[in-house]
Amino acid sequence: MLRKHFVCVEMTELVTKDLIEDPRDVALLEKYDRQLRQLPLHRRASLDGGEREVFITPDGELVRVILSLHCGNPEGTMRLGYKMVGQFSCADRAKPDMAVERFFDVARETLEKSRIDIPRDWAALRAGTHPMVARVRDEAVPQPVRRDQDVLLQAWVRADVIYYESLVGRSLIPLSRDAARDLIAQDLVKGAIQTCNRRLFETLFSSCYPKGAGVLVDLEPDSIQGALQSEVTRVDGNHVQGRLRGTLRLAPKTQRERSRRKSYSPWRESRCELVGDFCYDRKARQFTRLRIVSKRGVSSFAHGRSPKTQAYALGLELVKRPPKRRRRKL
Amino acid sequence: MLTTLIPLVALLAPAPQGGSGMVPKTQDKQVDPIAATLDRVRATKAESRWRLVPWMHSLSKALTRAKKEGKPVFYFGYDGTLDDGNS
Repeated sequence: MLRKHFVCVEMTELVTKDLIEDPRDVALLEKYDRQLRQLPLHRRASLDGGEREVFITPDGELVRVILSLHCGNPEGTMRLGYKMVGQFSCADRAKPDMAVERFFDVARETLEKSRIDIPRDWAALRAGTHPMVARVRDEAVPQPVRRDQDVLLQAWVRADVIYYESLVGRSLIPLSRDAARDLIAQDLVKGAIQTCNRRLFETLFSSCYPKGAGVLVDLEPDSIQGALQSEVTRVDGNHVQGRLRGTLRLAPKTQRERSRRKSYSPWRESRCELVGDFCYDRKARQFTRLRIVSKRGVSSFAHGRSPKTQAYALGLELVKRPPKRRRRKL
Repeated sequence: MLTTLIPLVALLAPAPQGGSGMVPKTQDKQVDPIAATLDRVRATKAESRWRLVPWMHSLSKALTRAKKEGKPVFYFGYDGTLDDGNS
């Protein structure tokens, strides 16, 4: 429904005036926020701060805020809270599909105010019976394909509480063939041990800091601590297998490292053991498997006064890329 | 004697190689803790589905496009005030 009938805008947590992608949006958001704050209490809301979702007509008229951290409610009070969904009655809030229902209600209201005919398939889209819904449900998010790098790893990072997928941590780590090869011993015999060099270690784990509000940072090298060692466990002709063991501690020291947004930089330290395995094809000079995951990971953070700890987990794995197509000779 | 020979041959036969032989066949997740951890940390389809929406990141540009195409805008923002980024 969103892809077909609306122009969609996402504004991340990097929305302060100094970090916002389009500076023109500052005046625009302030204008809309003022309009919303002047509404009657039961419809009053804020577009500044916290999660918020709103529909706007093609002429730029605000229709309604669906969700806002700061908003009024039918009981006639202004309330705060991450679970607050504006303009829902208490009975509505008890329904499990309340948010989706409200979303479609306001979307329809927006189309009507925009003088756009309600699509014929609206009911099917809302009911989830439209064939497009099933297709989207099965659709995989496109995996970026980079052909210019010999080795591409996908890093996944989880803190205990999952917010938004982009905040969880999902980064690609491109490596040259030679750089990746440095992970394992030059002489590939059973029992051969290699300690990962510092540069490669930093490359592998600099993106494994748990993401949070405004955390899109580059860690300084000395904030990335630990070591990783490989050991060849089996050699079968050109096929070499082995395991990886190590430790990791990410402890940013400066504000700049913790967060681009000065007001919110909760994550302090993340540490874990590292375990993994690899398969290397000596003839093709490439890894056919490379996996590294965390074990017993913990992140400490401070949001508010008292520091807390959460489970922390990471995983690195090779990105599977489609085989290169052979060009036909004409 | 045959009933004893067959199980013995099975024991002595090499374990079958999975796939091309270059990558060990993925074992049951219960004995492959690395795979189990990867399964837990990977973003799922459900979590990633919102990325399928073609998001713009400028409200000003979105309104320009909306007016041109005659479509309304859906705005989704999370966390942070304009002044200092607090909630």
